[in-house]
Amino acid sequence: MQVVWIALKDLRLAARDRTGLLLLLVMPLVLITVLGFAFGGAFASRPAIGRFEVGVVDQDGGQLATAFWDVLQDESLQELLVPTTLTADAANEAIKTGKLAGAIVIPPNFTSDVLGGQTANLKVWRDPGQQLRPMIIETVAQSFVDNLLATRLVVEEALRSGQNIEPHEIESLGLQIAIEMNRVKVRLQADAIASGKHVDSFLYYAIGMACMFLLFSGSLGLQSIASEERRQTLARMMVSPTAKIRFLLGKSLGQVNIAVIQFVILYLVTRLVFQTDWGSPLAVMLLALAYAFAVTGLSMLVAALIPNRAAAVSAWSIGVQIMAALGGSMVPLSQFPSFMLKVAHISPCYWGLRGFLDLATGLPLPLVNIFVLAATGLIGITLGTWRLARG
Amino acid sequence: MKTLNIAWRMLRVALFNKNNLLMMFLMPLAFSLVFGLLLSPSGDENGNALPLALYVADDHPVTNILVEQLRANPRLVIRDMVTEAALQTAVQGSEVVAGLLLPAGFGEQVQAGRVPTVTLLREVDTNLFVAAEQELQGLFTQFASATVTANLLQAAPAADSWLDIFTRALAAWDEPTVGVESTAIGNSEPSIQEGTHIGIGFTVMFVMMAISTAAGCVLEEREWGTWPRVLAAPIEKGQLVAGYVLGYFGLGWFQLGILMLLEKLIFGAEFGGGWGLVALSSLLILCAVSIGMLMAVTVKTFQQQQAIASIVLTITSMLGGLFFPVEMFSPALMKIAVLTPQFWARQGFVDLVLRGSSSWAVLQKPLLILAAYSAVFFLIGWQRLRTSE
Repeated sequence: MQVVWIALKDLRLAARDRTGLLLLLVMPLVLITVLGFAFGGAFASRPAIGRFEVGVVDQDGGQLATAFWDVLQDESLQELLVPTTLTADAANEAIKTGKLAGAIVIPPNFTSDVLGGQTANLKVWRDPGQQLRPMIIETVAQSFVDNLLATRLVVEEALRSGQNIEPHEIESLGLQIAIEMNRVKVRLQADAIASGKHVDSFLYYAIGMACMFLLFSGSLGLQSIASEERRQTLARMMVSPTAKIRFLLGKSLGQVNIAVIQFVILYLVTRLVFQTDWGSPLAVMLLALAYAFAVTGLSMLVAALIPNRAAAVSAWSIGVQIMAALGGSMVPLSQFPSFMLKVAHISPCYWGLRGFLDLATGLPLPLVNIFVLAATGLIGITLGTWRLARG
Repeated sequence: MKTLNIAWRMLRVALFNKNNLLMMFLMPLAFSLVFGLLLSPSGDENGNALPLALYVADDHPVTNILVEQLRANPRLVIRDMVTEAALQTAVQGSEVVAGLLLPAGFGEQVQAGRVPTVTLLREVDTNLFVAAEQELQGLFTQFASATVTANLLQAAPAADSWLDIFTRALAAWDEPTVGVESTAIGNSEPSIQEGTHIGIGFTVMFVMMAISTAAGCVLEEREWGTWPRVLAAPIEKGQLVAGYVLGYFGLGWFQLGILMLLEKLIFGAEFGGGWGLVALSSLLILCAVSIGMLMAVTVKTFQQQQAIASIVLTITSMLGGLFFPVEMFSPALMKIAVLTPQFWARQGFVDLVLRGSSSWAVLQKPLLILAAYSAVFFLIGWQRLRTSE
């Protein structure tokens, strides 16, 4: 019974702590809103980058320059790029001031060099102040050049093996080859695996932020032990007929309760406001309970291992942010390089987030994740309580 | 003299606080490390090649050549799958960016000049998936070129076998004679490291964070009861504020200097130099101090100030493009982004360092906007401070 009273007292204190509520409830909700809107497109069918202007500087005036301009008018590229003809100076100036992400420059004699079998380079001028757009421009230029080279290599190989091609035939042959290449080119059919439901950015960040800020709630446990020490109520508790173990279990239970209640509030608000569908409520709650348990275990462990409470609290808040970033709360897991995906396994956030994602996409209850989280909680609470009770 | 004394005392208190030091130095470095690893462009030489699951249901020389080429591509890491089901599982588990299935009869179709179709499986459409798709498309262009060459030439009398011509034509791609030459405009130093974007972002964020939370110490003094004593001391309010502001400047410069050095040494980030760097950093610090002051006079307790500062600054930093490139923002969000001081601080550093422009013409916009923000926050804060006591 004492265990429950202690837990309830901590819960009441948490509910009265306005700053704490701000951190545990308001901040995640604001972040879900911001990130959800910011990356509205990131999880849809296209990478989230809007249409942007690209400069085209034609210093060549040949037929390949015209051909390139035609390529840029292609429907799929039109969704991404707005090509604008510019003089070299204007393009340079616009890039320098960051108004233009980059320009593709067709240098003098490009057409005659390419057709005449000379070495030639298409030029890309890019703004080093931008990260994504210049990369896209480079890719577009590269794919045009690849197609040119493809045709030219066929002609060269034909000439080398003694085929008789008159200079005036080259152009029409080139066209024929281009058509033929287009015909035999391997078709890439991109199929999305039907893995049930689609996770949009609001649902993803609702899950991600819940995982991150539940971890933050772990610092409440640390703070509450710290403040009892400071106010000398800890010493009184210790001499009262409450066994140390019961006191610590009460603290742990209070901590689990706080995290679970925090989760339920975040869950309900995101469901009602953003209409996010987390999947089967029972399974979600079970996983949330395991997660809250893991958070509590880890905070008890930190409390036991770092006797200086202020240091423990700040280590916790730094650790939380790093674990959240590693676990996929900030950058989506699907964008992780393979190496980082392995590293992510050390973060409790990863196990929670991955599990919630599975549930959201309609997969069955992720037992492995629940087991890992519950085991973390159990080991943490046992070891932490044992160390604290002895100390 | 009193002003200097106050400044020095402030600086000492702030630097002897372990929590402060963690926030000032450890956090930005940790964030730079994590985000650097996460956002580094995949498929580069840094070992971040795109993982691609591959299931080959075909046995043909042409297919084998394709598989070889895939394996030789430095921007891809091929994971071999033994069944189609295994391929699907790998894709579903997000272990790979995409799964490529080469169906039975693929090689024969290529050789016969029919249109072969391969399937590329994905779970979600990410830019990593698009990058992998691009790699494959490039490879297929080379294949198409070699196929056409072989088809064209094998008809000739005494020609080599189709496969020989095909292989030879494909080998010609190893030394391309038409290419793309990409140059960064405006910067004199060509080797700007990847770490610079991220380094700038988190340096700006945590300088703001550290300085504006440190500016909350007025509240702490009020709680300790030392604030009324300071006010009762024979010192003018102007001197007092000047002392505090000077202290924060010292702190800010110290943090910035060390952070820039560490970011440069560890992540290869650059921060430029000259009058531009001095002006930008000073205005960044000034802005952070005035934000901190404004918050300190708005809330009641030190705890509240710390919490509000970290919430407000984290959110505005995200909106200002310090975490993710603003190019990903929608036009509507971009309108909000330009309202944050962080956006302009970052913009100034980007102009200075990455675009290499140290002229007043370019830097005046970010500098003036930061100055305006500082002035507005400072005046509101100062007004409230004067009326509150």
